[in-house]
Amino acid sequence: MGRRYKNAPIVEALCEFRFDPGSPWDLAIPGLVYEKVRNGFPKRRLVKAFEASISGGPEGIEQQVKTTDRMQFLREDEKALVQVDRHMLAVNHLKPYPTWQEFLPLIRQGFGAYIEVANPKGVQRIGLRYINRIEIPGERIELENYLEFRPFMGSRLPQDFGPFIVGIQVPYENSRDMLRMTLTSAEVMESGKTAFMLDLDYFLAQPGHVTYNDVWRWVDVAHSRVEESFEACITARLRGMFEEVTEK
Amino acid sequence: MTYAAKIQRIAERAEYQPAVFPLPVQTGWSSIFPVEQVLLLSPPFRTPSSGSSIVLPAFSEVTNIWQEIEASTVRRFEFQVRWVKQLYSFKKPEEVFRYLQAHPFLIPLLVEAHSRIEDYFGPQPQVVLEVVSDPEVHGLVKMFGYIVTTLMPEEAGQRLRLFDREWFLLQVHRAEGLLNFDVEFR
Repeated sequence: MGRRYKNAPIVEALCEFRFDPGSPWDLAIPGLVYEKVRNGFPKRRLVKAFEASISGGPEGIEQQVKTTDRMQFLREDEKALVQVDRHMLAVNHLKPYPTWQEFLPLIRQGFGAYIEVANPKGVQRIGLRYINRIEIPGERIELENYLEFRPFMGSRLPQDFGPFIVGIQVPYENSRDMLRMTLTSAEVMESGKTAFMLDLDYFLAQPGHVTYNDVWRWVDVAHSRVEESFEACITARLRGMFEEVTEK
Repeated sequence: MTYAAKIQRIAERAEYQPAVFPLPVQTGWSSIFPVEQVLLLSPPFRTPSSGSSIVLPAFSEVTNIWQEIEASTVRRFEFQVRWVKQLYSFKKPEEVFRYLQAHPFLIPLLVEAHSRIEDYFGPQPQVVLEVVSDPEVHGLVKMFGYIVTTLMPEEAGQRLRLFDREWFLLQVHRAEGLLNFDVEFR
């Protein structure tokens, strides 16, 4: 079992499934999923989701951002939710994140309900993603004191920089899976602090390579990889700021 | 054939190659970059003749290069706020941010409203968002969008009335009484 922190930086954890787009789809599906999860997720909300795409054609490159309607089923405290969209299911947990042992059953519940109702042909993509917001006191900080994953600036380049984004994809399982790690500077609401978003997204990169029977093994492995990557991203000093909780 | 593979093939056939980074085969063209970086924080893509930093191949057919469906509510909110910030100016940004956080349903309405304001006040209008206490209802805090204009007061008022009557009043239920628009004279 991984480390637990009193000031854990996780602002959102989510498990997202995208199903074979050739599967049957019916507008009644979200409502039927709701019937199956409503005990745990009684609140319903229709949200406008943004779907962005880039396509190319004879006229050139076209960027499109369009809105789609997405159903959200929320727990009473609104800290956990199930999202259903066309061939898509996501189970999210917002801050405060409990433990993996508590989050996993929510994912199982959402997944079971969707599969039973929609009966999709297969899983195209699975992603387990942890988004961390790390706030550090001070407006000028040395990143290397806190992060093992950070932008590198050679000695002949300016060492002071402002907003940044750094991202990397690491292949696993012969490139069947990918871990996408992204670190970006984030806006702070109060002065005297610096903030970053560390986004760890482990996903199935080769559609259809995980069967329903293997989903939970895949999810468990994904969780271990995200957890070990997170620990490898932070220094002992930052870990100290999160205040590890030790079982007595 | 996957989209990425298709694009890779088109790129191989094209007379020029992507200049900055190749198209990854398995994970989608811009999958390292969150959608907001690609679409909102960068200038639009330009053709090679105009000195682009990213060169994309010519296409003989319409191809879906990349698609992002954001499932994170936190990221989606950030993305949406950045989008709103591209369209509007924020007065006391922290208050505006907190207000949008508390009432996220206003965001799509604000995005839509901006293009409607353009219809009545011309392209790229300057609109300032501010959170204000409603003087008529104690304790009610609302968001106002002040459309900055150099028009004569009568003309500006008439356009605002048209905007209200033809669009905003039809959408007002979506705002739940928490958003309004007015004009501000420069």
